[in-house]
Amino acid sequence: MSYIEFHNINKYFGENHVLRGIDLGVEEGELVTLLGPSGCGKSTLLRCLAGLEEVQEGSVYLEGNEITHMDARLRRIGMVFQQYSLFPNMTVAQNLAFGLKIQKMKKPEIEKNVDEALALVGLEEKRNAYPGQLSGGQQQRVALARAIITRPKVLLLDEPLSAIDAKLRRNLQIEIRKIQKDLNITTIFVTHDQDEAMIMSDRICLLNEGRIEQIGTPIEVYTAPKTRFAAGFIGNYNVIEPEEFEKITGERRENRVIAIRPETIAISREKAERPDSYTFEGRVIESRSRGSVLRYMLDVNGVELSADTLFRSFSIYENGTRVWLSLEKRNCLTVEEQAV
Amino acid sequence: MAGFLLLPLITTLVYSFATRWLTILPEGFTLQNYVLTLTNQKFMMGILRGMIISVIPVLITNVSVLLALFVVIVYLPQMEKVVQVLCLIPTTINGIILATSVLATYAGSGTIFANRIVMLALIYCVFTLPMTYQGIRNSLYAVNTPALLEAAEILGYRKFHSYVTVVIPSILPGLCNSALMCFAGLFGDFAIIKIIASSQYETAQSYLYRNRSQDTQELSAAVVILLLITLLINYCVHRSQNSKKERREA
Repeated sequence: MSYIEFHNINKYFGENHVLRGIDLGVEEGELVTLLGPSGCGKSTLLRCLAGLEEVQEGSVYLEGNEITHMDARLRRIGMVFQQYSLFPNMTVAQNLAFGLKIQKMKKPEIEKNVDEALALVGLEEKRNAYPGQLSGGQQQRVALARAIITRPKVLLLDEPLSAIDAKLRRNLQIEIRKIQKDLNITTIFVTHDQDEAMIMSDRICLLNEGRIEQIGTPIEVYTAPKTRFAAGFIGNYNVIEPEEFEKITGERRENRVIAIRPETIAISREKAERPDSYTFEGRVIESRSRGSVLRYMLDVNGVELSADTLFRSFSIYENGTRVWLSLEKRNCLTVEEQAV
Repeated sequence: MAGFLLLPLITTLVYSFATRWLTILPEGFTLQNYVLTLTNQKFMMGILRGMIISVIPVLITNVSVLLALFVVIVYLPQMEKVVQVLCLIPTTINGIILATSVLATYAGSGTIFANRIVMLALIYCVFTLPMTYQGIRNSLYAVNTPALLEAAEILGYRKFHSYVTVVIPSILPGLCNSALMCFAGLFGDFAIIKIIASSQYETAQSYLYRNRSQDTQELSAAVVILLLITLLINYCVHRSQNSKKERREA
């Protein structure tokens, strides 16, 4: 049995079936990300584990013990909320000490733990500041320190970085991951940002409309999506119907959807035949700069494809330019319409 | 507009220091009126009674609304509209009509509600209800009470304990402001108190009203004293709230 287990979890909000038979296991010390679009049920699943939402069907296990209907305050779970939820009337030190006081810890021990937690998140000098005096990033660190200071069995992070600017966000992603590894704390992280999920996770659990679409390591999920949704959500794949694939390559594949990663399509001015590859002509419709990468939208026999190249002078093509595209056959992945 | 409001106050202030004022300027100035007013036991007791009858309903209403909103937010969110409508009903009823109706209903009932002071306190509770409800409700939603309660619950606290130790201290500035406004409104009332309990419970306001035809300079001094008391309370609460707010947000 895994450290955390969800067995056939079903959850309804009125008529809305938000979690549909979720089965998921998380191992001790692992960081699993629940990834998916808004409204897919990822935060609800997290809240079911925290005890903040009632599980209507199914069961939740922690360390082999069923906790499905256990009071949230008895579960010994730490949680960082999207809006931080720091107590505005308390200083940083008081916020951190709050969870320790209920454990009847002695004052010197509380002080020691608060000092250690503040050092861990690098906020020693903010000990006596109020949450209103801190920046968003600092508040998030305090929220993290407050969640881990009680030494919880599991750490839950509910989109903790969504309100933070991009640069600080990247730093905090690394920081959170480091702290998680140092403490070896089992963590479930919720995000809708696939890049964040790729950076932080040991495994990604991709959710869509209350169902698990795919579970796997970031590389597995990125390079081998199993469903149409996974291909579209994780890697910005070109998801192509069989008849469209035939129009592009002239080859008919089995009657299933094909997924092609944009970076696997090579663009050149000259026709270049490669072994085990499809070569076809297309026209540039539009190009978009994405930092070091240029994304071209291309028209190939009436089918729209996207292809990525590195941003270099010789790889810049004007709109309307006729270009040759080549694609290795092994990079044309067959995916299921829906999760089985 | 400010001048329009300030002129009578300034005139009252100057008049309260005047010895005799029969022509354009007073004959002289004195503190005698203040000495007489401050040593007037009836007036001073009136101030004390006015404070008591204003503080008690404010406390009762605040505690009731805090408890009701705790239940609504935590257990019965679907009841919020109902509570809101109930709490805002008094705004639609004229104060004099309400006081007269209550008097007619309970005066001879032989219950505790027939006691004029109890009746007055309860009417004041009803009057302060809309402002108290709105102030507390807005403050509770401003600090995102459900999220704070969940955060405390995850840390091991019961919801009510978290409400008392985390949420209520967080909304204290808003709570004090609405309580102060209610207190000031009740402290300045004499119309309802006159209808309900003028002979049994004389406050400073009803004392002023009863003696309005007597020595006007002494009465002006009394008005100034009441005004200063209200200003002082306002200032103290405002200062204490500002210093807390500055400490949290600086």
